[in-house]
Amino acid sequence: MKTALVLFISSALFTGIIGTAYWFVAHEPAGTMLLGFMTAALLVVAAYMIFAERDADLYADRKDATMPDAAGEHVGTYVTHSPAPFWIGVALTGVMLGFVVSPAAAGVGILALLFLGALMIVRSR
Amino acid sequence: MSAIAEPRVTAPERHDILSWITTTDHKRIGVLYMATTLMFMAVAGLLAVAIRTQLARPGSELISPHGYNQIFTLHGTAMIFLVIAPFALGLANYLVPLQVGAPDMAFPRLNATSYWMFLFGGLTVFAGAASNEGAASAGWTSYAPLSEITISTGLGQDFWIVGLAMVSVASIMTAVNFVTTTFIHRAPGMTMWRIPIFTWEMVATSLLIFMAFPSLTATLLLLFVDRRLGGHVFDPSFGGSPILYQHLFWFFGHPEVYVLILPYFGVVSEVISTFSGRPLFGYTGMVLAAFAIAGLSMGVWAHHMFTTGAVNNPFFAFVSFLIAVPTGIKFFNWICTMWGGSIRYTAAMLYAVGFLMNFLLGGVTGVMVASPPLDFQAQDSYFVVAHFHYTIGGGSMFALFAAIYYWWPKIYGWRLDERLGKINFWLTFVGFNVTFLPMFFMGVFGMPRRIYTYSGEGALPLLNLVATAGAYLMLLAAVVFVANIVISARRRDPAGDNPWHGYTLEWATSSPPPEHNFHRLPPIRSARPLFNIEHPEADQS
Amino acid sequence: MHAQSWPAVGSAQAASLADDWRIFTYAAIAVAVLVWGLILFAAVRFRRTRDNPAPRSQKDQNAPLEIAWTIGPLILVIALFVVTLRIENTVEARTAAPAARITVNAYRWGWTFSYRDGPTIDGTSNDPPEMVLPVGETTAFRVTSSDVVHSFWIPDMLFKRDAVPGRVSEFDLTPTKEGTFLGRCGEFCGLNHALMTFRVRVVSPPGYQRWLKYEAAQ
Repeated sequence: MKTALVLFISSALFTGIIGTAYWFVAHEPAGTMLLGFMTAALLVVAAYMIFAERDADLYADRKDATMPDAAGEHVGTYVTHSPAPFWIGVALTGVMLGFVVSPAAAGVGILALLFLGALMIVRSR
Repeated sequence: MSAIAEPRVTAPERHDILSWITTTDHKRIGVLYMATTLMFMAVAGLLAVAIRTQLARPGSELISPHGYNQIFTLHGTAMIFLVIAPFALGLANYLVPLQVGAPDMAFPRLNATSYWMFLFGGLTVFAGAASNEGAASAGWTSYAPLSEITISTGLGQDFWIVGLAMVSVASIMTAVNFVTTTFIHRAPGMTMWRIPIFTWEMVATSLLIFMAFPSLTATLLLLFVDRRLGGHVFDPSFGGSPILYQHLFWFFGHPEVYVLILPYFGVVSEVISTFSGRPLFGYTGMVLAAFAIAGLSMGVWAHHMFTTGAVNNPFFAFVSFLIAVPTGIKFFNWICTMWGGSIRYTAAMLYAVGFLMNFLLGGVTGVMVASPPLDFQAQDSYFVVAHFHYTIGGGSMFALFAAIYYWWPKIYGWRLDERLGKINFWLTFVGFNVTFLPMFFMGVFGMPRRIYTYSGEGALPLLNLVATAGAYLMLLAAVVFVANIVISARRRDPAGDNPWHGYTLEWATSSPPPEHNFHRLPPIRSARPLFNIEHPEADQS
Repeated sequence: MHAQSWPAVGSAQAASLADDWRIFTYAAIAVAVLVWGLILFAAVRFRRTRDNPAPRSQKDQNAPLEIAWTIGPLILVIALFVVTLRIENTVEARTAAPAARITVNAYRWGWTFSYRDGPTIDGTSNDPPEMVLPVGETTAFRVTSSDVVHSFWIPDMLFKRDAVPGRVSEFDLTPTKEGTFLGRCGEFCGLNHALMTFRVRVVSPPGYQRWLKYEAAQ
């Protein structure tokens, strides 16, 4: 995880430096704000990694780890299918088209979302 | 050492249409992405042939001005947002879990949702063509005030905005998936500095997507507010600023072009390494260069605004020049990978070398237009059109085909015909250069972009005719490509696990891989696990 | 009228801009020839043949080489930047006492040229407006738009400046060659963007004065 943290911190440092240099060279507010928000966003991720993941010890990061090290009994079941993604896509499209075309399209989208909700409730039983 | 339990397959793999619509398997989603982008590429390619046909002769009346404006808008929008970028995301979807030894992406359902949002968003953009005044026609950059409601009065522009907003959010979600998968779901022993270069490039690409796409989403939203919700953000008659639009758009727009190239740098690295029989030269330098390019690309956006007189040209010229350095590092590393190798010229390798030749010209002309005084002539002319087609077309698109020829046997278990592949390559390479090389001169001679016709004086008529001839050659190349797929599909020449003798993990499983990717993973002791198995005495890192 | 071929380089600013073009084109060609040469050499020399059945080595690092090809290009781009900066400052220099001042207003789809001490000339694609300038003397321009973003482009002077609504952009041009040059709109502005041309006729200073008098008498 150290590499990942280095990645986010150095990116934040980089955008911070460029943003500061940009303000003093150009005094242009839009670009400065954008670079500033960028730096803040990267620092948020870095902060999470420092405080929440500091004790992470992945088998992946050990140079001499072997597959049996990480093996265990039932680790989990991989989901290979789900109706949710397609219906979320349909629903979101309906909502977005609603902004453009008519509220009726948004209505279709909302109905699709409700259908999806019902489907997921039924499936989880 | 405890034995590993065999994965317990609870249900056989399904192949019906419903199983494709509800799939969350990264391999299927990758195939869906890539197939969809190839469809969009066919459409966008035909739009390009229409453009070139219209411009073959001065004063041609084949296509109306309004029709032409829709055509080039859709061509650019589709090629950038619906072909080059999502093909890379689809390829990465397929490859990244395999390359890091994971059974799937970190968030499989989010992955599938991204695909459907991309598909529906793309269709929405094109659906604008059926609206009252046709599709969006303000260019893929959609500058305000041209794209404001008072000037672009039709619904097509709104379809464009809404469709791209969906594609934008889908891309961000996919980037989250890639980064999480790469950080958390690597197999034991697969340290970050042992992951394949393609996966590293996808991490850099994902970082760029995080940093750039939110600006696009915000810009689209603001444009929509101006158009349909009574806003005046970009309307100067109420105190708004067209220059602000350009800042916001290009803050996204420039990193976007690096999103369009970094994955393909990864493809080229993998292909050249495998077919030279040598490891990628300077792996560490390549990774650092990728992040240098990504980082620097955040600070160059206003080089698209040099002619406005509204930005600090020297700042942006300086940072733009700097990007040439890590790009050069990559070129030298590729050459050194080939150096001393024993190069097998398959169709994939030909496309990779074609990439090097084309992208070099794109790159050096990029340094040219990074110089503001030069850009005063080149901006918004065919010089820039030539530059970006050499990088995105001659670069990314060539690598896209290299990727198809290289990984097709892994995905389907059978090969594409190599001889047809080579014919396809040469037609594409010659056609591409015949089309775009004249455009550098057309720009210097004063031909602006985005014009539906031009007058018959000077050198422009001949140069345009030559360019159109090249476009038809590329059309022929595309026909050969499709024929290759059809003919090879009938033959189904079995490929085996590792037809190209590659050394990364995707070649350590069957072709196609099982649903959970690996029955058994080899031990991972370096960036080339299969090489270590072949050469147990060699140095490990 | 000279149009749509090698630019005439018809202004003092264009002479500096042409220097930039020359320097960067030579640098680009030099780099391209070198790197294309290396690529083609490697591509041909290291093909798999009976004499070259396997790679010679698996060496994948060379720190001195990698440092060299980082530092070398860095020096080159810094040099190019210094060149660029100097040329841009020369081109954008303003004179305190221009011979003429023109306000250019771009609109869909035509141009209005308002001389401060002279006529106002307007025209669209059917009858493109013609601006007259004195050779060897500097004219100060102010460019704006009344609707969308356009761009005031004279290819034979290697120069364009965007016409942005709500902003006025200023620059000088000092024509050095007599003749009539084509002007174009250089920023996509809708249906007739392709036809939004103008003319720049550069005449001797006495000819310019005669033209001013003629226009005043209209």
